[in-house]
This record gives sequence, C-alpha cells and structure tokens, in this order.
Amino acid sequence: MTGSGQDMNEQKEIKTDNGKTNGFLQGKTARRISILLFWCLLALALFAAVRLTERKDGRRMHGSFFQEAQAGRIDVLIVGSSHVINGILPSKMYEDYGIASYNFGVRGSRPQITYWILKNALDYVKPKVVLIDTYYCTADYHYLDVPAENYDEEESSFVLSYFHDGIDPFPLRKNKIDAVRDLIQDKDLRKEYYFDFIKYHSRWSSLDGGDVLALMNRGGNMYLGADPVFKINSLAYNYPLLPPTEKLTEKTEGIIYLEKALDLCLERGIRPVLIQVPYSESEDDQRASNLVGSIAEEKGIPFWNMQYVPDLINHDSDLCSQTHLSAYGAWKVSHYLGSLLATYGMPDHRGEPGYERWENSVSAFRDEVRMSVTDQRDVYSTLMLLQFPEYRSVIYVNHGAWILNDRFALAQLADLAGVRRGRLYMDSGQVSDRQDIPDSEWQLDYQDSLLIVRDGPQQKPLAFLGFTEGFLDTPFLTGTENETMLHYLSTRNWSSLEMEENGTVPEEKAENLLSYYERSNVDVQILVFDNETGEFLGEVTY
Amino acid sequence: MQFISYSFFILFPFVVLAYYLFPGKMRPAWLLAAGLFLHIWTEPQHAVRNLAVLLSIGAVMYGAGILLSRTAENSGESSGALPPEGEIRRKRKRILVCSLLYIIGSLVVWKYARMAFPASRSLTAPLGISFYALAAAGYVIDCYRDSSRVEKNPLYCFLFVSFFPLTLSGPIERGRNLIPQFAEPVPFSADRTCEGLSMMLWGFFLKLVLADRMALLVDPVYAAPDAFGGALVLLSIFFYALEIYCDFYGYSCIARGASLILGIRVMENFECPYFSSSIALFWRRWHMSLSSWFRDYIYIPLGGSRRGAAVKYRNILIVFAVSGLWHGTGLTFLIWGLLHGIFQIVEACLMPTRHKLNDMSGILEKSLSHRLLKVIFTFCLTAFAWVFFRAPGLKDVCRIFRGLLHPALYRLTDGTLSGLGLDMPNMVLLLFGLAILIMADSFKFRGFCMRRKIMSQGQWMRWLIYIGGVVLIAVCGIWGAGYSASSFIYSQF
Repeated sequence: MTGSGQDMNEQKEIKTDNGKTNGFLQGKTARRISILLFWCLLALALFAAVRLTERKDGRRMHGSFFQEAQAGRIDVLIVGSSHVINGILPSKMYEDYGIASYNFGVRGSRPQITYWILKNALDYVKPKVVLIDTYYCTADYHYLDVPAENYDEEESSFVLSYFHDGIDPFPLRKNKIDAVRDLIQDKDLRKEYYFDFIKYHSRWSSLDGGDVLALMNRGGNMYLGADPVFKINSLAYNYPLLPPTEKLTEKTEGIIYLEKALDLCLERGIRPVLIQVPYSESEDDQRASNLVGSIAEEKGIPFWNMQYVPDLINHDSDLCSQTHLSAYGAWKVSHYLGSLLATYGMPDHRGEPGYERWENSVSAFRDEVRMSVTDQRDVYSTLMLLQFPEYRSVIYVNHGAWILNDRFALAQLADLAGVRRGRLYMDSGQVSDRQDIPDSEWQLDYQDSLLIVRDGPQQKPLAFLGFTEGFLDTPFLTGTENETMLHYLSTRNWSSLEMEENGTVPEEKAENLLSYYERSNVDVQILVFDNETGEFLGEVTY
Repeated sequence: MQFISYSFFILFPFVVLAYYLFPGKMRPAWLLAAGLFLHIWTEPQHAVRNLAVLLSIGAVMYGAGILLSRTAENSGESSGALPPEGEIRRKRKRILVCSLLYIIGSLVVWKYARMAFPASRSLTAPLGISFYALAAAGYVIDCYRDSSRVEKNPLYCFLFVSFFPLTLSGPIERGRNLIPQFAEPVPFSADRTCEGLSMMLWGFFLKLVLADRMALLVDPVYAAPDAFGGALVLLSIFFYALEIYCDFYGYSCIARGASLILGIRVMENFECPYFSSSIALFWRRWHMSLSSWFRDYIYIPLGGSRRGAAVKYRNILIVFAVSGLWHGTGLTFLIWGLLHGIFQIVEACLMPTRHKLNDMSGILEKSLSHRLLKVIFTFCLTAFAWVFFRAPGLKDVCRIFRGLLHPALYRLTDGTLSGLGLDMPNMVLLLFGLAILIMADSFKFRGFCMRRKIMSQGQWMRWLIYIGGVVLIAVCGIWGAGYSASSFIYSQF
C-alpha cells in the first residue's frame, strides 16, 4: 500500500490463464492499427449516442432543408415564428404557381433568433426572395438567457428551448457560434448549443421508436418546414384594428434585429420582404407592426401586412387559436402570397425533375385533409376542413343545437353557406367590433334548424334556415315544424345532390344514413363527399 | 482540478502527450508546471493565495528535510529507528516542531481559525490544503524518523505537494512512495495506459452514474426531510452511505488511473469497506490513506494500543475526533468522528462477551450467515453515522431522524421519486449499477481484481466493455444541463 522502490520500468503484462499475453495485437504496426480502430469505434458509438439522444424537433422539421438548399432548388426562403410555420404552405405556393419555397420557421422565434437562423441558412442557400415574419418584434431584450422587463424567467426558458429548435439542425460553424455568443450571455449555457448532447443526453430514459428511426433518417417533414394545423385548438378573441398610423415610438431589440435581417439580405443580393401573417393581433403588436411598416417604407422594402388585406381571411373562422392560422386559413394565405411572389418573376417548377419533395408535399397535404375531414372530435375542426374545395357536404344543424349560439361556429357556418364574410348576429344583438367588416346579411334565430348544402366549388351553396321558403321542400328533409330532421340520403344512388328521377326517396333503413330514431339527439349531422368523384367519404355527427 | 470538467478532458491528454514527448529529465518539471497551472486554472480568483500557500508548504517541507538531513550528517550517526540523543535530538525536534507548526498550523488557520471571525467566514480554504498539508507533514515526520530518504532536489518536493491528480482529494500519499517515482520516470507503456484508462472509466462510472444519481434523492431529502416522509428519508440515509462511497472511491480511481497513465503508482484508498464486519475493520478499508496517516502519525505516537485498554480507547477517541474535525468545522463532523470512535470502543469492550455468547449458542462466527449479519449491521452503523456527516447542522440531524417516525410508504410509489429524476429507467439503472459495484467489490474482497480480469479477456470483449462503459457514462451520467455542477464530495474538505 505504501509502495516501495520497485523498479517502475518493469512492465506489468496482463496474462491469461495459459500464461500467454493477451494484450493488444503483437507487433507495433498491428498494435497501432488496433488502437486506431478502437478509437474509431468509440467515436462511432458516441456519435450514434449523440444522434440517438438529441431532440429531434429541429431535425424533424428542417432536416430536408440542407439537401434542397445544396441542390440549389430553393427560390424563396421563409423565416420567422410559428406564424409562418402554421400559416405559410410551400405546398400551396408550389401547387398554384410552381414556386419552390422552404419554410424555416421556428416556434416561438423572436426576430433576434430569426436573424441568426437566416444568417446560418444563407450559408447553405441563396434564394431569390426571403420572406421575413415580423411577429414578436415587440421583444425588447438582447440576451435570451437574461430576464428583463416583460421577459420573465419562465418565458426565457421557453425561448431558450425554441432557440435550440432553430439552431440545433445546423452543424457547428462560425455563424452558429456567433449566433450563440450573440444571444446567450452565460458561457456554460453556450456549450449546450455548441454541443447539444450536453443538454440532451439525459433523454435516454424517454427514447422511443422515433428516436431510433432518426439514426437512419436525415429528417425533414413532408411540408418543407411548414406545419399546417388540421384542427381548431382554441377560439380567438378579436382585438380592434388600429389604423396604420398608430405605432410604437421607439425601436425595440426585435425591430433592430429585423433591420439587421433586411441588411443581411441586401448585402447578399437577396430580395427581402417583410410579412405579417394574419392573426388576432393585440394592440401592442399592431403598433409594433405599424412601426415596422414605416421602417420598411423608408428602406424601400415591401411589407406585406396581411392583417389589412380585405377578404383574405375570416378572423372568426380561419384561425386555429388566438394567434395561428388553421390549415384552411394557411391555404388561403399561401395562395395569396404565391400570387404576390409570382409578380417577382419566380420560376414555375411544376413538373420539373428534382422537385419531387414539393410534389409530394402537395399530395401529402391533400391526403391529410382527406384523412382529417371525417376524423375530428370537434365540430369546429370539421367545419374548417369542409371549406376545402375538394369536398362537398351536407350540414344539418338541429334546432336548439348549442352551436347556433356559438359565435365561432356561426362564423364558420356563414362561410360555408357563402354568406358575405362577417359575423353572424345572434338574437342577443352582439355587434361586430371590427369596423372594416360589413354587417352580415344573415341573422339567425338559434331556435331554428339550419341546413347547408355545398355542391362543389362551382356551385353556390344552398342554405336554408328555419322555416324559410324552400326549407321543407328539399328532398332531404321530412317532418313537421317541430321535428325537422334530415330524413334520407342514399349513397347507392348518390352522385350529386339531386333527387331521384321519380321524385321519391328510398325508405329502406339499411340505406338510410340518417335514421330519425337513431339520431334524434344529434345536434349536428354532416355528410362529406368527394367533390370530383361524388364518393361518399363519411358521416360525422356531434 | 476538477475531474468532472470539460477542461480536464481537454488538458489532461495534452499534459500526458507532452509528458511523454519530453525527455525523461524534464518530465518532473513538466508535471510541476502542469500541476501549478491547473491549480491556478481551477480557482483563478484565488490563484495567488492558493499558490502561495502550496509553495510555502512545499518549501517548508523541503527545508525541513534538508535541515534534518544536515543534523543527521553532522551527528555522524547512521539512520536508524531511534532518534539521536542530546543536542542533535533537540535540534531535530525543533526543526520538526517548527515545520509541523507551519504546515499543520496553515491547515488549522485556513480551515478553522477563519470561522472564528465573521468577516472571514466567506473565505474558502486554499484548494486541497487538507490533503497536501497532511502529505507534507507526513514526509517531514518520516524524515525525522529516518524512515524516508530526504529529498535533496526541491523540484520533487514541490511536485509531491502539487501533483495534480492528487491535489484536490488525495489519496494522501507518502513521500517515500511518490518521490522516487518522480525521480525515475518510466517510459510510455500501452498496457499501463490501458489499465489507467480503465481505472478512470470505473471512477467516472461510480461518480457520474451512481453517486450523482443517488444525490438526486439525497440532496432534496436532506434539505427538507419533513416534506418526504420516513420511507424516503430512510432510503436517503442508505443512499448517502453508498453515494459518498461511490463519489470518493470514484475520485480515487480517477486519480490513481490518471497517475498510472503518467507512470506513477498511487496507493489504493478503498478496499471494499462496506464488506467489513466491524467498524474497526471498516476503518482499515475506508480512506486508507487518511486512516493510515492518522494511525502512523497520531495514534501510534500517542501510544497506540500498547499501553492498556484505557489509553487505547483514549487514543481512538482522539484520532477520530481529529478525523472528524479534519473533515469539517461543524459540530456534526466532530460528533460523526466521535461516534466512530465510540462504536469501536463498544465493539472492543463487547468482543469477549460476543464470543462467549456465540460459543454458548453454537453460532459459527466464520459462517456466511453470521458474517453477513455483521456486515449488514456494520453498514447500518456507518449509514447512521453518515447522517451527522451529511446534515448541515444538529437541527437538521434531528429533523432527519424525526422524519423516520412517519413512514409515508406511499411516497415510494406516488411519483415523488420520478419528480426528483429517479423515474423507473433511472432506478433500474441505479440498481443495476449498484449490483455491478457489489459484484466488483465482492470479487475484490476475495482477492480478484475485476479490472484485471477484464483486461485478460479477448480483445472483442474488452472493447465491448470499454466502449459500452464510455457510452453508458456519456449518455446516462448525471452531468450537463439540468444537473448541478458535479463536484466531488471530498473536494470540499
């Protein structure tokens, strides 16, 4: 234990039971190769461990960016927050205009983060146009890890996590290091961003099959970075719309970083465009946006503030939450953006080889809508999805149903019924507080039943309310004033919304989708058909 | 420097590489330079003070040795077991006393005297002083006793106190073991490097996978025992006993492994302590470098066990009181030390009675069942004593024991453990790791070194174990975001 003066030059060889050395391979060269091989295997194992445990959100969203960027296929790059993630669909812009865009939005991204994501992304791609989201330009702090006024620790921890989402997919290069050094003050915390294994190795206890698959997969979602929301998560409260002249008096850190993003694009010969995706914007956010608008005007940069585009979206029915567009709202906004970008001379890549990812995203979107339209647990989501022109539908709302007293649902029904956009008044007389929206033409008495028949995008929807003329004369309704129900609809003969030739409807219960006896307690009955083939896709009741 | 730090993983390979690239004569100088640099690096804000204390103790140690050797030369006496008499003896004693006054005095002043002044309580003691001061004092005493050769080259003396793998938390080495190794550096050996790396791997496993994982439960429970209930308090008490073992043993393994890579063999510090069947045996297996230091430099000079039972018991109490105080300045450390002293005294007093009772009842003392019982009982005693060691104060000790009165068994399954980070996968890993530790220790107890057994296996198996071990530690170790900085428990002393 205390040691002695033994000859330390004596090599202590490890021997097996038979007395032969069982150390490394014999011979210096073989030994060196063996050592090298060991370290290579160790490095490989550690690399696999790093990939296995890392959080996949960033890579899942943006893994395909690097492939497409390096192939030079991205003409429009979209950066910003979840507003763009949910609200701008590269698939729609490609489908309608052949524009190859990529959505590198980051959830919760502040302009501080957006600037650095853009700068890192431009290491890999030189698009013709960059669309820069202006949401969160009210963020008035520099370091993400240092709480400030109106930026508490809880928010800071979320933002730090969002920063990971955005920056993790990028390999460790100068711009990534610069980003971390600029936005993170704590030197120890910076290391987590340089080597995210430091943060994520503890995920080992919650790994699942997706993590294992990610070892083989480069990642990337099917919507080229976008994440359309196929259901309604919560209902939005609408703020009054302020005039564009009402704006912040001082620039925030967020606005400063937006300016830096604009300058960066101009330096690189890229055309920047500031955008504001429509949502229920608070007054403070509106003032900040309006200031951004002034700055953009001074710099001669376009600012497409879609809040002020009339008839683009319905704030009462096209949002999936207070601040984000639903899939249908995004579909409309993306079409609009595509029309604006088309005026910039964007090449049309439809049908070109190499753009399969965009082609696939179009199909994927359609497939997802198709899967979702009859699979929603809430009526709001179904009504939202029925707006897509691929579907015909018959919507029956029973008298006294709760949704006839629901502002959001009424707005959706009004859209589906083709009523001029606006709010539906209830008999309590709630008044719209958005002065730019004209009064609705249609008023509901919630004791009435409501029938809407959408016979394809080329036809004006039929809408019958209560016991108005023609309501009981449709081939779909029977009953009395007190018990009015959709009586019969046969899929066997169904190809369009028409009566049978002899003017009768079959009575067989087996063919009767809407048996009165089984559905008397249903508030809403919806039948969904494929617009092109007339195929009956399903029935949804609430 | 802290072993669990990014800088260690970057700097250590560099130090090793440079060490073997330098010619043999320059290697000790390089080690000294590296040790001093790392000393500064670890605590830059107190670098000047830390270096000043370290180098002054090194200087006093060297000077004392030289002066002692000169008195021995002047006396014309050859070295022997007994000190020379008369003036030479008095002179040697003066040198010894003065040097020890400075060395131990520095330790006492920096650790304890500052606590007497409120203004200085926030000051930390110089890095590693508890360890290198004892090592230096041991060297001086050995020189005085002529049981160690006096080192004429100051470089080796300074290196002895600043040798970086040992500075922070030992083992507390002897000059006669280390200094000759510094003077005769060995050439690079792949096998020795492999053995050193495997020691370090084992150490990191003990520290990062086991000790720090148990700390996830121990720390919050000790901070607020009332909030957790008796079942978790009891679990924490046992966990802490294992935690401190894994932590300290892990550190020692890393220190020994790092030293071995540099060609320096350092003493073993733990020998399966929890397999001990008595407290006395426990202290022959736990922190052996410290307990042997106390034995050689306090217990034996006081008379040891050669002057009757009463003196023996007195000496035990003194040694363990000092041991307690060496570990910390609080009353709880003193109580902890005295408890161990009392346990040994009671053990010794009751031994004849126990033998008689066993004979009368036909119990075979060497049977497995009897030994197992004694091992478990000893473990429980040490775990009980560790409560005093771990709790911040006496009031907290009382809270811990009071917490045992309310079992709250439901806390084991109501998600509390999960909320602390010990969900099912972590608990399974912990139990699996403890099973490996018990297996390794039981092999060691029987004289088999599991590490050497692995090293004698075929290459594919060795690689599998080493690579698997590294990946396991990297992935499942408690380090990084979300965990507090992993500093070793004994480095606070």
